[in-house]
Amino acid sequence: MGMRFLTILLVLLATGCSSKKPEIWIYTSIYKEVIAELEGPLQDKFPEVKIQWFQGGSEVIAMKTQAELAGGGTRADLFLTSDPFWYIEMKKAGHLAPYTTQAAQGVNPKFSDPDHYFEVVRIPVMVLAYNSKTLPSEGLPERWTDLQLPQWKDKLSVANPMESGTAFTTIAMLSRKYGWEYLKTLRKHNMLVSGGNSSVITRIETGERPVGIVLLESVLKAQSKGSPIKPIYPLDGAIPIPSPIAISKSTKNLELSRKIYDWFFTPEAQNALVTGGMYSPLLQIAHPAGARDWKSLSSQLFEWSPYVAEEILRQRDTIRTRAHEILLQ
Amino acid sequence: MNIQGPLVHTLVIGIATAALSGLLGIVLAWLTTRTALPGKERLARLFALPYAVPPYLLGIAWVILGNPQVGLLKDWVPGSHGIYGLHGIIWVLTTVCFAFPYLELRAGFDRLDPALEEAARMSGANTFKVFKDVSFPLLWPSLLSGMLTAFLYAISAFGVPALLGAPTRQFVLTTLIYSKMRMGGIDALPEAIRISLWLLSISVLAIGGVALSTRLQKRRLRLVPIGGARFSRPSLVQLGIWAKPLALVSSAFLILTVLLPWMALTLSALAPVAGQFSPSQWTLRNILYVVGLPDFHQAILNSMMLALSVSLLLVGSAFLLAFAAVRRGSEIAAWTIQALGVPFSTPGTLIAVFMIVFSSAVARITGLPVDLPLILMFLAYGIKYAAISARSLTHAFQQVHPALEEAARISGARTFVLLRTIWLPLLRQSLAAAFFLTFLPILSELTMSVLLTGPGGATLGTVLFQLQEYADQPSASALAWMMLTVALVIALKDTRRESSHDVRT
Repeated sequence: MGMRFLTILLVLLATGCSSKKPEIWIYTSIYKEVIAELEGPLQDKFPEVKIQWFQGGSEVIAMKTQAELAGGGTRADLFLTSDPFWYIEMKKAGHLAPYTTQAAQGVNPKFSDPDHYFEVVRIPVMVLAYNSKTLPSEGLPERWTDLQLPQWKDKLSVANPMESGTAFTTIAMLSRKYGWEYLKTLRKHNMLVSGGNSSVITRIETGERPVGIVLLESVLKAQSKGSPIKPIYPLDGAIPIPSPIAISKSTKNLELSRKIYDWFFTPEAQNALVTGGMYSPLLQIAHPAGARDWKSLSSQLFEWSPYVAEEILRQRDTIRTRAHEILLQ
Repeated sequence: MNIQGPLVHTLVIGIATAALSGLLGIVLAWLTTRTALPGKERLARLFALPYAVPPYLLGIAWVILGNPQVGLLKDWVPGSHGIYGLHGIIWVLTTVCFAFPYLELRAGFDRLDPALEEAARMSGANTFKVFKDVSFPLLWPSLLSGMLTAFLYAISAFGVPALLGAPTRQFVLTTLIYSKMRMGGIDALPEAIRISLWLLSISVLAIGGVALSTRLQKRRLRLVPIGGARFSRPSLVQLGIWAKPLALVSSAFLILTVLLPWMALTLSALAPVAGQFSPSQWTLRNILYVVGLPDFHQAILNSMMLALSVSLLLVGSAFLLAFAAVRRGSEIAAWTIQALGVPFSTPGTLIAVFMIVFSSAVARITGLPVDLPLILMFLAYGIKYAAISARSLTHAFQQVHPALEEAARISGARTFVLLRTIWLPLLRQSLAAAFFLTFLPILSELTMSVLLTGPGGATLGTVLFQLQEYADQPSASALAWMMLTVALVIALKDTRRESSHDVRT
């Protein structure tokens, strides 16, 4: 067995050395199912390129990339993950290659980088969700501020902002809009703060915590499997998590990377991305099935701009410390 | 963020888990080797099974059972937080960790020459006195070593503390390191290393302390080697009226540690949606979904190959290393064995990150694609889990009287022949235990795998992580259930083979 394994390793090594096609590595947090949709068309479009996907959570990809950079350079050519702040940091550290493209022309500039080191390619949103089986449809929270009402004591949960990028962004945006007092009230109501978005969904489904602050895409996905979970689009606004695409500074195939970058803004790619339950930054692309349309949603979104992003990034350590003190101690 | 709370929690969890594991380990090892407990062979096989469950899944199973709002057993779990909190973490980790002292002690009892116990008994000592004054002092190093492994395992555990500690806002060093690394942005590494230095210091202190106390005891008692070439079979302690109650307690213990979590995972795997457990809604959809995943077959192959090759390599080299340290008095080997405790108690996330830094540097300099997922995982697993077999085999060597080896050497046998004809058969049970204890955690390793994976590098751990993060709990439970059931079969088979060798050299 050991020998066989060794042989396989050697064969892998050999094939690794001998492949002549140019390789493009895409580091992404896009769901596997969505990658399955994208893979074929992308490979058809670029038959001369070997496209390699490394898929993982946004935080895992940030960790991996950081470690690779510490070792002398990342293998990634393109990044498509969900944490907008990481891209600002990567840009500042000089790890991204700027690229202005016609392809992203329709994208609302408030979601993108003014210097075009990255461009938003999909927009997940944070909403509220509840278990329609255990909670009556009357008297549900309609706004973020309703969560402060005493009836939601012991009913709420959210992912851990110390572990999940989307949860951090949400907590940062909520504290920015409603102040730390708001979070203190939620803490007083014993909001359960743990795990990732999937844990929030599980807790809603089991009824352990029938109301949650969670990504819309997770709700839509659960619904498609017959879950009694339903989204609530807060009247005071859903929270956007503009998710970028960027080219690695160290890419050996800049032109190819650019072409693939552009391809992600084509209707073909955008429609596939939307099947993951996120919105497209391009207005002509339909909204995710089962979700509210972008027009009515965007009129109520929390404010997002390069300035807001910079500000949150600047205060990130403070926000993290405060959030930890209030929610996790 | 202050480090004091997590530090204290880590210590409390480590010490309590080690103490409980030691207690359970010695009682159960004694019951299943030295008494006439009814059905003890079967019980002996089953006791170690919680170790076969990936701890993270065991955590999920216990959340299903014991969460204070809707847990299946919520009315039976005392306290307002249910299974959440330090007590829950300690409990779940103990059900896993006691396998270390338990298996080491079983092997120890097995090698212990029953003539010593017999002599004491004939001189009028009662069962307890025999245990206290004869068996226990001789097995103390094994117990201590097993407890130390349990301690190191508990302080470096991540999944269970993360699942059961966060709801009561109790964090440990590993969860702190994890959140630093996930959310720390570009400057995270130094801080994560700084925190893990605490873990490192604790483990070095613990390893050093145990090494010292074992050495002191050896000096005091002057009876390092025991047993070895055995001439008598142990006469079993008759339990009398205690037989039935003890068998009942043992079975209850099994129900609590194996059956309940397995049932929770089964129910969850059959549920259409998390929390819907009624039999009328049971579905095979989750199981079929997992079986149909494109990554699933690749994952099984990769995980089996990695677990087999790494654990064979580790047990094999530990056998040689421990031989060199104990029988040849090699200081380097002895130090290496102690030093392996360090990566064992280092969080997997950190090891994986170091692997990536190192391998991409090597790849860059040499141009060789050494940063392939399978190679990285092979190395990472090897580094992380080397301590288990090295430590337990060292104690196995120490415990056996070298009379046979000396006889063989006088007759001109060379080292290789000595190892093959003397030590291999003598230590068979310890080798099997070491293999079991190394193979299973690698089979379902998750923390390092998610960082080191890549195209072609799916493992059961990465698939499980995908399911938990992106699919839903029932699908994750379905995979968990399958893995558990397979692991149980492997564990059962393995221990059965072991116990069929019960007739000794």
